[in-house]
Amino acid sequence: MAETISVAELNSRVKELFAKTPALNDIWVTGEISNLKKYPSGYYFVLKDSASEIHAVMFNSARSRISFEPTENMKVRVFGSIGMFVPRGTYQFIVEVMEKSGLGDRYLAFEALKKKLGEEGLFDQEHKRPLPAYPKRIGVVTSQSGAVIHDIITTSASRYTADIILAPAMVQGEGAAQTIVAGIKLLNKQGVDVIIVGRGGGSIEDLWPFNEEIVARAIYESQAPVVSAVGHETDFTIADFVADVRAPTPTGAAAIILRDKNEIRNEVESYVNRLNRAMISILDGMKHTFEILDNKVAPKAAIEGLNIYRINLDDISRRMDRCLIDKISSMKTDFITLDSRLQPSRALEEMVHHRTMVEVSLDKIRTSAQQEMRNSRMRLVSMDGRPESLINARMSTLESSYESSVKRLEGLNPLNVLTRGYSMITTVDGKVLTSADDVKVGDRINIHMRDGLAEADITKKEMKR
Amino acid sequence: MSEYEEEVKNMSFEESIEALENLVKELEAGGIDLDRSIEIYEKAVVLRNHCRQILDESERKIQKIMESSGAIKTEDFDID
Repeated sequence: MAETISVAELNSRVKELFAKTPALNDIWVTGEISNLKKYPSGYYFVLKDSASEIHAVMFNSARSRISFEPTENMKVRVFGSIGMFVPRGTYQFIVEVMEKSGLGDRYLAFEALKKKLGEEGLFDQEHKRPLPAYPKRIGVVTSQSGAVIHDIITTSASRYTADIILAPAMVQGEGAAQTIVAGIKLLNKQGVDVIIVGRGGGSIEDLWPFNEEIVARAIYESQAPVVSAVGHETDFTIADFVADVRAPTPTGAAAIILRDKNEIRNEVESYVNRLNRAMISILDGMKHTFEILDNKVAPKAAIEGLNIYRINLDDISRRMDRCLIDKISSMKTDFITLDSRLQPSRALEEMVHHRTMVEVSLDKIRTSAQQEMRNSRMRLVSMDGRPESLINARMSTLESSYESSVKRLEGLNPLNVLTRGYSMITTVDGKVLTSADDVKVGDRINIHMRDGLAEADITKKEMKR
Repeated sequence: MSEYEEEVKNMSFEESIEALENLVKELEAGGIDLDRSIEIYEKAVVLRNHCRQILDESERKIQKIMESSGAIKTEDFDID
């Protein structure tokens, strides 16, 4: 008959079985921490992967051996054994050692590749190519569905205009590195000015393709300069070390490659401003030079001579004016004398006529004087010297021409004609007689002489044949 | 000057802004006659207008490029 045992006995036997099975003891297990609880005795959590899960505990004794704090969702590799909790009939994994999953191997691989490529010189500053100032075509190697291409297109919209050519690539998982390499090569074949290689943030596994040697070498061999934008600002990959420029994010990459349009506009305007300033300064300089030359050509003596000349001209002008005024008023007096004997309206006409002639003459003299002054000034400036004698010569010419004008004017004064022995004949009512036809025998006439008047009768008349 | 305008039309933005900078430097250095100064000024204005035109009027293409069995295929790419 089969034995009958207690529940406690059963669980004890299971515990014993676990303990005796090597496959369940001192083994490494990988999984993700979830449902993590911290108690004074240690950490209690569920270790799981996509297919299964198991309760796990790490007592304080083990906890003191790790340097990090376990967190929810952390991927870990744990070393330990299966243990049975008899009172509850449950089993769990007793963790003795815990390390972050993959870190060990990946970290070693990363460091080894970094060291190797570094020694080969792939990271050397001298291999870094400058980015083009104004690229026309930007190649992008990234996922066609991710935020990276979206961020790059959006950010560059307000910046210097450049075409964007996307070479779609897988950015995580098996085979991703190969598609990234193909993208870099394709864009180089197609001809772009610069290439962005990037992906958004993720776990170290997600970023891993950018730590692979083939990607590093493709970046190094790229004809076009490469800007890396992998993960978050705190993530560093081998791609970042090889790239010509490392951008903190995809948005940052677009901003590094393409300048802000307004900033460029301001720069263009600043050149124009500098141009204007330089032009003004050149013109000022030229003005200054002209002033110096001007002083050389027209020395003080010439200017002084010119001033004397001007004063003399003014003086002559004043004298001419006064002389003419005197002459006119003397004529006026003469006319008034005649007025009583001549027809008043006629006399006035004569006077206006004379006055006009005097004014015309005066204008001519003035114009000619001004012209002479201008000519002389030009000659002075160009000749640099002997202004005095020129002025004097010109002044005597002016004075003599003035005097002859005055003489001509005097000749026109009807009184002067009378002075020379001629007489003027009028009818008794003042009408000037110039033709024998106007008189007949017996008419009474007035004979006007320089200083008086005689009355006479016509006694005989004879016409010229 | 229209000859120079033709020349500038074919210049890239980078070439234009470099030429503009060189002209400004030449003018700033001085020691040139008035004719050359005016020539520089006029050329600079042509370059400035060309730069402005590129900034204001150029449009970009956004494309996707793929290679399958040796054939390169290019098509317009739209993020939305």
